[in-house]
Amino acid sequence: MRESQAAPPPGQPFAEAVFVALEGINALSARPGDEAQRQSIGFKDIYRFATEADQRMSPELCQALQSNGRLRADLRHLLERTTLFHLSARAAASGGTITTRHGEGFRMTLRESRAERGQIYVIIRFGDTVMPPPTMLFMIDDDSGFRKLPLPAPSAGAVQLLLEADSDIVAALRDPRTEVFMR
Amino acid sequence: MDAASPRERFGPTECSDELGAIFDAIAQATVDDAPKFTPDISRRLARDIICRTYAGAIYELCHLTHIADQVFGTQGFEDLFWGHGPARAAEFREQFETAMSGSGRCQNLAIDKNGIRIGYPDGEFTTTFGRMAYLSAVIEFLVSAIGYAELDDALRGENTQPVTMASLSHAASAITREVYGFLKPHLASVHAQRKFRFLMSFLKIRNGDGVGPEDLDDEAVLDFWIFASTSAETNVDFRTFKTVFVSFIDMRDALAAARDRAAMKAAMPLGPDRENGEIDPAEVETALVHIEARRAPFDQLRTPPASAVKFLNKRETAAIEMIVEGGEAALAMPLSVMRSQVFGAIQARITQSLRNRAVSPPSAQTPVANHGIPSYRDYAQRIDDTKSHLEQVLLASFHILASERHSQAITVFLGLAPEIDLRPLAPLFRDDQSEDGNVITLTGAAVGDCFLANLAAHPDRHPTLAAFLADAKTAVQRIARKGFRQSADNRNRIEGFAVAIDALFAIRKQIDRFCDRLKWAGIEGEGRDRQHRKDHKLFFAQFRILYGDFQ
Repeated sequence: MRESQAAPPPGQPFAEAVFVALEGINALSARPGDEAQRQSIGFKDIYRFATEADQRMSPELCQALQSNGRLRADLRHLLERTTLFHLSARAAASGGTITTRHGEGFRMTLRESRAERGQIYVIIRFGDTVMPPPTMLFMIDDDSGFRKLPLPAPSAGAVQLLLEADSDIVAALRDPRTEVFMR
Repeated sequence: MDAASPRERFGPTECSDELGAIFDAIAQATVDDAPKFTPDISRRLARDIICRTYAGAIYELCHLTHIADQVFGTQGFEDLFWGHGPARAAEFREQFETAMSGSGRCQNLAIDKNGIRIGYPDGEFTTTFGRMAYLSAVIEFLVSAIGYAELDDALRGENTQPVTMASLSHAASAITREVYGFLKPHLASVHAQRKFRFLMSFLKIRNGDGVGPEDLDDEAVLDFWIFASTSAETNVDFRTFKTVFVSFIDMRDALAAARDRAAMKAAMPLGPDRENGEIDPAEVETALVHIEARRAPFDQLRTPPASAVKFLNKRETAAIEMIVEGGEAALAMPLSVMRSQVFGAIQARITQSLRNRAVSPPSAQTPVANHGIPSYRDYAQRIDDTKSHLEQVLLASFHILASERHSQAITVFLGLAPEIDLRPLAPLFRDDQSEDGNVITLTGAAVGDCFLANLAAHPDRHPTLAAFLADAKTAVQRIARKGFRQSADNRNRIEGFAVAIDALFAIRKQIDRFCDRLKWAGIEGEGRDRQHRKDHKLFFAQFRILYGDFQ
């Protein structure tokens, strides 16, 4: 059976448009209440990760960020928009690691602990009094993607963290290619 | 209906998996364990995207995001749409009222109980809190479709200072173009057009030119399925009976919409307007709104506060969903509903079994026949059971609402027992008198309250009524489901019962009409059993042609 080649009667194009739309809606209208359906990772998840201090990086979010370039770009854009402080990534120096990095309105220094060998102080000193002080530090690098670190309350204009010298976080903070955001 | 995803249920369709996944995510989005969007909003969004009538909503959204940035600060719209609870008018009202109370920083904004008005150098714009719930779904779609970074650049990046109506209109046009570009590869209409034309050709051969909705009947559905499910010519998948029936429902609705439109145009002073090949998407959207209104009862039950009460479980819903959501088409093709529910379900099992056969050893498989094959009698029994349950739910709803002196109790009473003669109660309804002897005129609400009080206090006056009240009380005790017992959030629960009443009666009415249609078509008792035996032979013969030895 072949489709009719004659001009369609009046009204048929409209009926066809409605039919096409109905078929499309059948395809798009999900059935609410199917509890078994898995929730997909979307903007709500990266928004919570970027704005809620207690929201950790879940394995699902981590996987989604690794596989979805646009989600990565969106999270990065969101951090740029919502964070107070930003340290841009730079090309690696010949030595590969640094101990002090300067951002707009703050300076971050990594210093070995004299009391405990194998530990590093990360001291973030702010130029002016910051109200409210940042509570989260985000790191972005090509190898590990996005990471988040809760920050303690500042004392005398500086935030101080004590970390294991051989930890991934210290390595990332030393690496000039790691981009840092704080909010 | 089964719990498969829509794309599985309806076979090959117009949208890509990516677009389908976006809509699934929106429909299933939750905030604090509650659905973020009501089913009605998800459906409206689908309609706007399919008909490409989203430009107006995007323009409104540009204003709302600008308002949010002014009220909530630098991450204003992000906080408005993703920082709070489910997308409901009351939630948005509370956010804005809290943020704007006592603050003099938004001189160009005015808030009232319905929404917010914003003034610009070149005009003003008003958006309502009710509309914000829908715009929240639109922005959810936009961040998934074109990305947050791109959307943010369009919304905030190009805004001139000061922001004007014109600059927001410019931003809206840019976003609309982006969406159009995104949809192009994801939303093609060729497949559905082919379906429509093939179906139309079949109907024309069968019924002659001038095919109308009345030409689509049970016989036509079956004839078409027998022909098209094995036809190599179709280029479209009409293998399952359910797919065919859903297409017939859509076709019937589309033809009815076209006829209504033609009648309306003919009645206009300028006379009938010949098609010139251009269809106004807004007209299509209007037709869809009309067609989809029949989905309102279930949407209502799935939406808070009614969703706080489990009126119907999955099995009951599955038994009657096609009858209710099929609307007039289900009434016009009642046998096809039966066939779809009984043999459509068997066909789904066969295809699933064949898929399993491809991935697991034969020893691990259960033959299709071992699942037990339901009959039309079984399905009719399921409808009856659901109807009986619905009666009990309505009785229980009456008891719960009457106990709270809720005015909707009267609606339920009148709906359930219209035949009860209330004259014996008349003496109880004399106008009340105040202490000084003045007559007090009872308002409608007071009469209702008085009626409910008298029903409870004087059962002896009216034995029939007393029996009704006793049945209602027993019904509550019988139903051990969510919402039928007192809970911490009792007020919300009672509101759930109150708003669900119209939907429950609408469902009951449609089931009654459907059963009448079955009776009228002779599909009951012996006639139904005969029909089942006949259809069993026919369907299994066709299944063998389609799938070979599927046992």
